Amino acid sequence: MKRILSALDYGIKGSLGIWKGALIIWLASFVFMGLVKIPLRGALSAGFGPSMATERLANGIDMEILGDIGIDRLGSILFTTAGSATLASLFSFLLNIFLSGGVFDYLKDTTNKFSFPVFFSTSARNFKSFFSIKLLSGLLLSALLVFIYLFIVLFNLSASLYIKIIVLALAIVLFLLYIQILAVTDYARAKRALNPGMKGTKALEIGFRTVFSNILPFFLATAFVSAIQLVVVILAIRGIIGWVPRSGFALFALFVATQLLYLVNVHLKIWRFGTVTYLMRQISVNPGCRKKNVIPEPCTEGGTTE
Amino acid sequence: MLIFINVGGMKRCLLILLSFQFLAGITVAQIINPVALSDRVTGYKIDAVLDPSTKIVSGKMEAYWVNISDDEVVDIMMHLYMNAFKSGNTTMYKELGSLPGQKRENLGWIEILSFTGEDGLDLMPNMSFISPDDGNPNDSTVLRVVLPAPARPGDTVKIYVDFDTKLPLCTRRTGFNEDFFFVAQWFPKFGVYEPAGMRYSDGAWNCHQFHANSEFYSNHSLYEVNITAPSEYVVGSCGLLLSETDDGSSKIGRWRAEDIVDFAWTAWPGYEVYSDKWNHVNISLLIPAKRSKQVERQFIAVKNALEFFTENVGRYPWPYITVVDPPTKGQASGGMEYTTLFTSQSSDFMPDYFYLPETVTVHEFGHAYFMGILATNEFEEPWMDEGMNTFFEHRIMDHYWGERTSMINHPVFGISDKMTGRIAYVASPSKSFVSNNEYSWNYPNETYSIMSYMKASLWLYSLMGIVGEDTMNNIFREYYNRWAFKHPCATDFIDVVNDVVSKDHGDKFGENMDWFFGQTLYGTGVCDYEVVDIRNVKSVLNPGRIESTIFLSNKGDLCFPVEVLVGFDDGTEVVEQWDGKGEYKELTFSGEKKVEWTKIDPDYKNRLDIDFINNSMSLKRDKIPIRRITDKIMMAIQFFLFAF
Repeated sequence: MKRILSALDYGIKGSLGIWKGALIIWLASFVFMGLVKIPLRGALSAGFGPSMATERLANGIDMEILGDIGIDRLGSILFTTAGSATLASLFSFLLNIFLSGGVFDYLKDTTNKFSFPVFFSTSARNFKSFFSIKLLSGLLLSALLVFIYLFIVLFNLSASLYIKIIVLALAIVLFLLYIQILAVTDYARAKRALNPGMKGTKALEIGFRTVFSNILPFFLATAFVSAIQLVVVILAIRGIIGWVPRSGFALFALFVATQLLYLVNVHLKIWRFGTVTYLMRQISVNPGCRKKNVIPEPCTEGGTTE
Repeated sequence: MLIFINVGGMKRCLLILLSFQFLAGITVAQIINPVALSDRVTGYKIDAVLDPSTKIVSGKMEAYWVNISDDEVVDIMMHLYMNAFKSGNTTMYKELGSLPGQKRENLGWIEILSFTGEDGLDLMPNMSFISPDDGNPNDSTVLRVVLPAPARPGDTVKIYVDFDTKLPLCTRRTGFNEDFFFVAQWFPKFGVYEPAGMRYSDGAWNCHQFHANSEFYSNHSLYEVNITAPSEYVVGSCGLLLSETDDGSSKIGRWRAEDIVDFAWTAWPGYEVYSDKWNHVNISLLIPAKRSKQVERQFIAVKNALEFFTENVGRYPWPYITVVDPPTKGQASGGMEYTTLFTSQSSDFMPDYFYLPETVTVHEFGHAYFMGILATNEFEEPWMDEGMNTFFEHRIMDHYWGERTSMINHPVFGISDKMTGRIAYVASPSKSFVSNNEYSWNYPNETYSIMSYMKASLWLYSLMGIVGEDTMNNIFREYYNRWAFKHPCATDFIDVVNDVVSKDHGDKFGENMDWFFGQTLYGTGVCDYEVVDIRNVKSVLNPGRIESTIFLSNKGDLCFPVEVLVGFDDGTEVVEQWDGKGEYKELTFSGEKKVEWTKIDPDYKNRLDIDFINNSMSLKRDKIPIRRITDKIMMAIQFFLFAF
């Protein structure tokens, strides 16, 4: 427990220390979302022209009015939006990986001052390995989410109590596994950042071994921070859905509120990275690397060079 | 003893039920209602035995038809609807452009084993199949039987028919799937002999073939049906269960129905039966066990529909109703009406925010009024049933489940039932191909439901927008009072509209409302009003004054009177009227204030207008709604992509 608290403490300090990096992440996401928003806004404005039918959108999406834009034009708007959203998704996936490289590099030693050149150079250096880590673990996490969803659906559909209990138990197990795999992903990236010569797949392999050998600390720390993240995301989504601003000022206020929540979420994510980084350095497959009561020193291992 | 009554200006003969029911061997006394609701021109007594292994229903039927016309009728015509599923060459499958499948056991048909008249006279040699609609020699859904002697006015023709009905694999409202059975259109049913003047100038049988896009038409009848099924099956039907005997292997239910136009039934071991009551109406619900969470939803839907129809149309005349929610394997039988029984449509997993079961239940219940009580000819005037019923379905769903949320009520997204109908009509490229005044099978492909359901519902809304909701309700109350159990046609409904509108509004809308029906029911045009421009020009002659002109356009083919709401920059508003005639209209104002915005039909009452967006214009564009939508989409994607 003390180790977990220390890890959380280390993570918070690291997250606050890299506030400039967090701002870069926010800015990047904002720019990419503009790629989706601007064409969509233009198309809808053109579709409605000077009409006052937009007042029917005051309480939310009104499909009847949107349908009157014209099936061809609406189809074109939806197609273009889907296309730009797909592109934005792809680029954001890559950008996420890129920027996390700089974040993990900073987190390995938070006593260093944040520097933009170092941040971007380490992001570039870690990109290839982080890409492989994220791709492999992302596939696994996505599969787990699909199965969790299927089990929930089965739970609702099944009339048999016996089957309901089984699928619910399976869904819970998969959910716990999901948290643990999240910890593995963070561990692998932290490991790779600490050992620049290590391959991403090797870091992932060590991550699986270490995290599943020390289930409790990694699970508790990751679950705790992820739960707080989830609360923030839910608050933001509820705000986005439920708040219906009717003036320019109110709309701006909604925008500011959601962007602040987003920034908070970025810091929470970095907090989780920092927590796992600390645990990674504390817990090693080789017990000889462990040092007590000192700020953890980098612990080299026999990793292969790329 | 004979009693003559006037119906629609034509003498008709109403026999005392005691005498001819006795002749037909059907139980005499009123059981369900204190008095008969209809003429009971036909009656059926059927012993039906279901064999689940062969999928055959064997029937022994006694039936009668009373000649209430002034004609000597030489033949009788009967529907053998089940023969539509006999092969790929039937009219139904030809019109569908599909085939019934490879396996013979999945086909359906009805075979007449014996057909005798009174005194046991064999009428099989007098039988022939005819195809009055398309001359298809391979279609045997209409049976003609030449009578040994013509039926004179007032005569009762009695027949005794043994038949076997092979049910098809569940398709198009009837059939089997594994141990599930929905038995509809399963017995030889009389067509309707329409006396001269009822709808056409000459008396004749109205007995159409089974088409891909048609429903049904028959007389209000008395039914006594004994259904034999294996003991483990739960049976539901259009009738009231009078008694049931069960010897452990099979059970016989004795069912009776009075004054209904059709008799269908279902049998499946997996039904659970629930009961509820609304005023005088006992409601039975047959539903799969897995959908027990939806029971309350179904009852609420039925009760809301009962309440709305009772208040705005007329009393539901039977003391019971059976709601069947077929299981997934029987869903082809879902969403259909049989008066005192109807089938809903749902699935095992149905989110609380998706009101599909309620929508279907409200719609199918509503048919009890238009198909069941008024009993219009669904072959020839489908809009009178489907269009009117869809109009009421939308009103009921919006009234009880919310004007913006009556189809889907999710925190993220909501849409009303009414909106989906108009969206489908507006989006259809075929909306001006045909009018509503078309036989159901003559609609070009994919226009049948757009026209019969959606367009008719929309112009009924537009009519309500013109005459007002109170008058519209008065129209339907009068329609019900005048024509219940009497098979009205379009001109009868139009007469009711003219009478009620004249009574409520005088000549405000003209001498009559024929101009409205000429454009909507009988026309193919579309409606599209537009605000073209708003101009404010400073007066040269009178400094300080502003000459404002609003340019309106009627881009469509229809002209209805509409309101035009004009807003000025000082906050004042003025309502102008436009009769909709002519392609252009100018509204001019002179004063010290500028026109800032204009709305044609500001309350969106004219739902036939295919473009609400061009109905209004503002010189100060409100960008907030679009910014809000796009910003919210952006924020949601941002969190989704970057959050974890």
